[in-house]
Amino acid sequence: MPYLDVNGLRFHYQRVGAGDAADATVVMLHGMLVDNLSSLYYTTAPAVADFADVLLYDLRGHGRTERPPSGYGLDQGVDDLLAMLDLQGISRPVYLLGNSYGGTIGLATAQRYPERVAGLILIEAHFSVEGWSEEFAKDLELAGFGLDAEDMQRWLDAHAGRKINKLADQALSLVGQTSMIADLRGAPTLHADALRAIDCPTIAIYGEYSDVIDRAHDLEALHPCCEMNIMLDCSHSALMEATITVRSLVRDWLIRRAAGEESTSRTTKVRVREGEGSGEEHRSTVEMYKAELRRRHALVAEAKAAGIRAVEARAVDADGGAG
Amino acid sequence: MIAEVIGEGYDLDLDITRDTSFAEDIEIESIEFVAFGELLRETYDERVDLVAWFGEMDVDQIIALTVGEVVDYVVRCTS
Repeated sequence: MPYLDVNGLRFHYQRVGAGDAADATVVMLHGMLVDNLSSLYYTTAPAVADFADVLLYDLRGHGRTERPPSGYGLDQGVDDLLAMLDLQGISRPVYLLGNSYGGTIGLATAQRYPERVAGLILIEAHFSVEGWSEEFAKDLELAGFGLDAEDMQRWLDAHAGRKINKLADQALSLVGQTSMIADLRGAPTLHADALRAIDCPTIAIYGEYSDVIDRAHDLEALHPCCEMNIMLDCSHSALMEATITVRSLVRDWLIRRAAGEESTSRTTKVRVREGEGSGEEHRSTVEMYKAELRRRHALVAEAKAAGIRAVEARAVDADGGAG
Repeated sequence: MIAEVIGEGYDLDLDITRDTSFAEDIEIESIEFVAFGELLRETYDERVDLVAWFGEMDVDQIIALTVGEVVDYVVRCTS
């Protein structure tokens, strides 16, 4: 598999499609924690590979890219992308397609280096409005916390697959053994004015039941040229729940860009194909999981506080005894 | 070839037939399947292009792929 040394780390990448003579280059950025480039290799890359040059890579700590103990901040993600483009010899502006956190990197890149970005394809993009990084870090921490050794073993025994074990290893290692959560807490906020200033053509795709649907509304309100697509009966996993529909939206949008059509602000409610969707069910499972993790988190915090109170009480007793 | 891609953890007792499923039986990881596709291309023909082939399928179909279906695809590409 092809690798490149980028910012001192060994990155796994794939370059597929119509080659660098193609009219457009699309760089695909995957999500966080249990994701890697393969999710886009199977879904969005095939939608454009016949006419575009496509670059995909595993973000630091993910897939087959090295996992350093630190350096998971958003700015670092943008720096990795820019260094990757330079090393690949891609100097023209590229389309950035990002799923979830990959979309966060896409937006941050368009903000910092607008001259390198031809357009954005945002699928369920998180981005750092006020309070975002804290919430996002907390959710990740909860996910890490939820996977304590005993529960994890029980869950693994039930599922018992090497594939699941490997994904769990990646997630546990990222949350438990790197500075990812602390780094994300420090993610810079994307203020409303900055969002207004991102003026590259953009297509956004969000599930109507997505837990980040507020980000879709922020984009609708602030981004000056964003084609918003709300996928009916889909959740945050819209890409997996309605792959064929997402593919056709992305393909059609890029073909219209190549034909010189301007990107204008509008919102479309997209009915997915038969057999796609089921996002409401998916969302309720995720909500149940998060509620359970929060309950456990509270229990541990309470136990810790009680422990601290007990230690303090003993200290007071000891002081009293000494006095 | 599958063993080369999967490496550690490969169940050598598994009897691979045309009906063997990559996801269910071999439990190949999605990223390993990318490597498998590369190896097929290097070994057989440049025309073996999984990304193009996946364009005809949804995710459930990709997950359900069997060894026989991949063999048939490679044969189609190289004949």
